[in-house]
Amino acid sequence: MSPVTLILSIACSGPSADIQELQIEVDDDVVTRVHVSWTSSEATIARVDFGVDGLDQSTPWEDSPTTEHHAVLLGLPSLTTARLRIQEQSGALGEDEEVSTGLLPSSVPAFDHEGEEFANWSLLPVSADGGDHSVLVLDGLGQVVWYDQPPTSEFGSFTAELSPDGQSIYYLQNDSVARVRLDGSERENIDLAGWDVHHDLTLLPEGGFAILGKVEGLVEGDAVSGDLLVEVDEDGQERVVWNFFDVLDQLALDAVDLKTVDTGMDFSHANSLTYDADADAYLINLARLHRLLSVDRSTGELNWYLHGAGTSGLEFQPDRLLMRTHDTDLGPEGLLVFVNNTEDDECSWVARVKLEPAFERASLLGAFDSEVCRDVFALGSAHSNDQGGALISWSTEGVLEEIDADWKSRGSISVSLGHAFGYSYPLSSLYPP
Amino acid sequence: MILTLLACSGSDLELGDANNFAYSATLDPTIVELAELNDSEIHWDELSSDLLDHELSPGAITELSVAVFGGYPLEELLDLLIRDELPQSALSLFVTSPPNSPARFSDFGLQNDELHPEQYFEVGSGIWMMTWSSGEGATSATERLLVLEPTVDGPTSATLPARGGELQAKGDFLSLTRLAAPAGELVGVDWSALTVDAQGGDLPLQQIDQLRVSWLPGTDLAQIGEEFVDLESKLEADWKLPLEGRVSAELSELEGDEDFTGFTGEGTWLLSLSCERCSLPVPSFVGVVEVD
Repeated sequence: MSPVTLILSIACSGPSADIQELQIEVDDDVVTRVHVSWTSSEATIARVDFGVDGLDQSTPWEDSPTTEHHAVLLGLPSLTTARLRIQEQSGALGEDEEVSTGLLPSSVPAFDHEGEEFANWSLLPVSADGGDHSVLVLDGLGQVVWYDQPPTSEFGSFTAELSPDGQSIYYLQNDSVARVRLDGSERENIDLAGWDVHHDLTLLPEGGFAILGKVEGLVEGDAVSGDLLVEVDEDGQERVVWNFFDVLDQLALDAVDLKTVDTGMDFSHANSLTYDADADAYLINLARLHRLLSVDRSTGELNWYLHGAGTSGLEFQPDRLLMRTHDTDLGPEGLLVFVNNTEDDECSWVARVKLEPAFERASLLGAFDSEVCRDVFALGSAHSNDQGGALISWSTEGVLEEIDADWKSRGSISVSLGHAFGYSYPLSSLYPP
Repeated sequence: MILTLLACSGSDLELGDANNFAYSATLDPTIVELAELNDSEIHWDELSSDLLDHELSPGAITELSVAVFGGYPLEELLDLLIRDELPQSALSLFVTSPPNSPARFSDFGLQNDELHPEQYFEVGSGIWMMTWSSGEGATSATERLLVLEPTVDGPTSATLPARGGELQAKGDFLSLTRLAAPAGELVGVDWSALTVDAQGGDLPLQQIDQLRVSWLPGTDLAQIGEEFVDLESKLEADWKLPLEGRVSAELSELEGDEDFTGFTGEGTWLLSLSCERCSLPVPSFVGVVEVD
C-alpha cells in the first residue's frame, strides 16, 4: 500500500453502528484508485459517497450485511483531494474524510479538453511512439482516472472493452487478451498464441469473447493471408467460428478486388469485429475488400454482406462510399461505421447506416464530419452512448470527440504528438450496473 | 541584497517557476525538392553529425520515418515541434522504414500498409518530413531531419547533407532566481509547485521522470547558457535519479560514479528535472544552486 495512508480510529455515534479502524489508502498500482475499509460494531450494508466538489459519486451498496467493509473509489483524477462519507442504508456514518490521489506514471500522457464536458467516461487504448502504451479511462474533462499499462511493444492495444458485468476491462496485447478488474482485485492474461490475434475483440453476453486471427489460403492461385474468427468461452475453450476462405466464393469478388493479389499479402484485412445480439451473429469488417459481413455465430455461415459501394451484396446506393472503413457499432440509431478516407475524399467521417437484411437492403441515414478535416489513416471508431449520441475516436489524429443525439459536436479531447488512439468506448459508469 | 533573491525555505529545496532557466531554440532543416508522385531516393550514407552537429555515424541510425503534417505553415510547425507543443492531430501520415541507404519512399510503411508515393506525394499535400532516429523504444532519439518538398518536374533523388546542426539552442541562466542550499548537506527537493517548463509551456508533473544534479567547474552563467547544447561534455560530476509518480526526492537517493555528499562552494551546481521519454531532449527544469 502507498505511504499516503490514513489510519483513523473513530468511535462515533452513528445511526446504528460505529465505524472502527477506518483505513483510507491510495492504491499502489493505480494512484487514482482509493481503498476504504472499516469495521462496524453491527453488521450493516454500506457504501461510500465521494467526490471532488461534492459527494456526487457512490460506490455500490454492499451485497449483504457485514461488519468488515471494503469499498473502492473509482473515477478520481490524479493529484486531487476528494471528500468521502460512509453511508449505511439508514443514514450517514461518521464524519467526512479526505484523501489525496497520487501522481500518474510518466508514461501516461496528458490530454487537452475543449468544449463541453463529455457526458460519459471514455475507455481509450493509447499507442505511444516508443512503445509505452496504455489503456485509460478519462473523465469528461480528459483527466485520466484509471489506467493499465500493457507490456512494451511496437503497437499498443487497438481496442479495449468493458465487460457486460461492468467490472473488468478486456484489451488485446501481444498474442493474448488481458482482463483487468477496475477495482484492482484481479488480473488475468489469456494466452492466444498461435492465432496471430489482431485488431479487435468483442465481448459476449454470457462471458467470454471473440477475436480475429490469421489463416493462410489461396486466391487466384496465390498463397495469401486471410482471417479467422475464434470464440473463447469463460473457461478458455477456443472454437473457430469462421474462416474467410470458406466464404470467399460467396463475396462476388470483382476485378478491382483481385487487381493487386500478390503472394503473402494480407488479402481480406479484417479490422473490426462486433457482436450482433439480435441476430446472434458477428459483423466482420473486411477493409481491403470494402465489405461488412454478417456471420452466423453457431454455424459460421454468411448471412449477408454489405459492399461499401453497393456493387454487390445488400442493395445499397450511398451518396458517399463506405470505402476504407474501420470499426463498426450496432446502436439503437443504426449501424455506425468509421470511414477513413478514399482517393476522392481525404477527410474521415462517421456513417450511420440502416440495415434491413430481411429486405436485402441497406441505406445511408446520416453522416458526421468533424468541423476540421480529420484525415485518419489508420483505425478509427464510433460507438453509441447512453445519451443518444456517440463517442468518436479519430485515432491517428489523437482526438476523441463526443457528439450529441442531433449528431452535433459537444467537445473534444486531444493529445500531443507521438500518441494515437485505438477503438474507444463511452462508459456510463465505472461501477457495475 | 542578493540573499533576498534566493529561494530558500527551511532546509529543503522547494522549486518554483522563478527558479527555472529559460530555453530558446530554432530549427532550420534543409529543404529538398523532389518530383511529385514519384518513388524517389534519398541518399544519406555520408551522414557524419546530428541535429546539434555532434559526431554521428550512419551505423547509429536504427530507423527512418516519414511524417506528413497538415494545417500549419512550415515556420509555425517547426516552432511547435521544438516547443513540444505540436498536437497529434497535425499528423496526417506516419510511416517507417529500416535504415536503408539510399531510402526509397516505397520502403516505408506502417504494419501492412505501404506508402504509395505515386498516389500521395504531391504538391499541396502537406509538409513531408523525413527523420533519422537512433536507439530503441521509449528512449529513441531523432538525430536528423529533412523536409521533402514535392514539386512538378523536380529531381528524383536527394541527399541528406553530411553535417547536421539544424537545431540551434541556448539557455538563459541569468534571469532565474537561484536555489539556496547548505553546503555538504543532503537535503530534500520538492518540485510540486512547478507549473511551466523552460519554454514557458505547461509542465505536466507526471512527465518528470529524472532528477539530475551536475557540477561543472566554470561559473560564467552567460557562457553556460550560450553553450547549453554542449553542456553534457563539460560536466565533471553528475548524479541521476530515475523517478516515477513523484514530486519530491532526497538528494541522498541520487546515483553516480561516487556517492553524492552534498553541494560544495566551488564551480556551478545545476539541478535539473527532465522527461527522458519525451521527444524533446531538453530538461523541463534547470536551476542553479547557490551554496551557502
